[in-house]
Amino acid sequence: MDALRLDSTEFTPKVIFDPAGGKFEISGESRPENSGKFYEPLINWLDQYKNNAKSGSINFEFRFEYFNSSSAKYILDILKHINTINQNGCKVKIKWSFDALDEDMKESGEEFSKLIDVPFEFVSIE
Amino acid sequence: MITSGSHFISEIYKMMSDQKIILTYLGDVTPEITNAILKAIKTDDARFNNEVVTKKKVYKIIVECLENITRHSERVERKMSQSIFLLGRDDDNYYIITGNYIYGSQVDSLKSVLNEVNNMNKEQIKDKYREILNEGKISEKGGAGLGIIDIALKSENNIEYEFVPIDSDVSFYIFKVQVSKNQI
Repeated sequence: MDALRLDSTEFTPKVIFDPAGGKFEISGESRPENSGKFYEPLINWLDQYKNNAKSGSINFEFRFEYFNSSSAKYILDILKHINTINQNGCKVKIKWSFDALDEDMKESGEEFSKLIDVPFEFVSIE
Repeated sequence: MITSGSHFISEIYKMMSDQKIILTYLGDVTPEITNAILKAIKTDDARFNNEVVTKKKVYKIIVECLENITRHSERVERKMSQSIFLLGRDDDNYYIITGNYIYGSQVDSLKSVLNEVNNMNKEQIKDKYREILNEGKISEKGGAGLGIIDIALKSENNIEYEFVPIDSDVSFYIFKVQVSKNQI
């Protein structure tokens, strides 16, 4: 499958879904004018990918500076897809990185981690 | 009204300085206005005395407040779309105050969400957030109250609100939240 790459904009995050390199990343600020429009292509890509990924391993890193509440449900959707990919036999490592001063962002990660089976590795960035 | 321009400006200047009003806006809250307000806040470290954590919280809350206004004003007719946004501070807190028109039919459901979060502790608010998120019934327009819950979670203070009936259909919704400055 082809990789999906999006550069960050002022209000949307950078996205890398690279199955060949096993590297997945969403980072930056997420406040799209229309969250559905931004996130649905990502969800669709993962929909396709989860049917192909049955072995190997990938690393998935979330490094949000900020996300708004209407992005939150799409982030959870993405996490649920990752959960399925892991269940299907492709081992997934989830890294939740946050600014060391941003306790709220760490807590958001903790809340998300309660909703899926794959454990999170929390990384505080100084 | 604004005939004696210089006098009027002096008055406004004095009032805003005395009341410690950082930013105020009256009009349609369009996506462009939202972006402009957020940009101004993002780049203004001096005004926040380099209190990074507080500034982040204020920023997040303003996003949710402005998005709530946009959601409501799309529903209320154009003639009623003028909203007010205000960011102020005193020695201990930042204040975010908004006022916008909503339909009377929305008042009860908003009141119940606001009362509910005001009566919860932080852990209960987190549980509620997770519950709504996991139900996945959040529409782009509806928000299912997640924005308000998010504001309560970030501000860690009670939300003050008031609904002023305008006519049989429309009320003016005033929303005030405060963020305590870091006690470093």
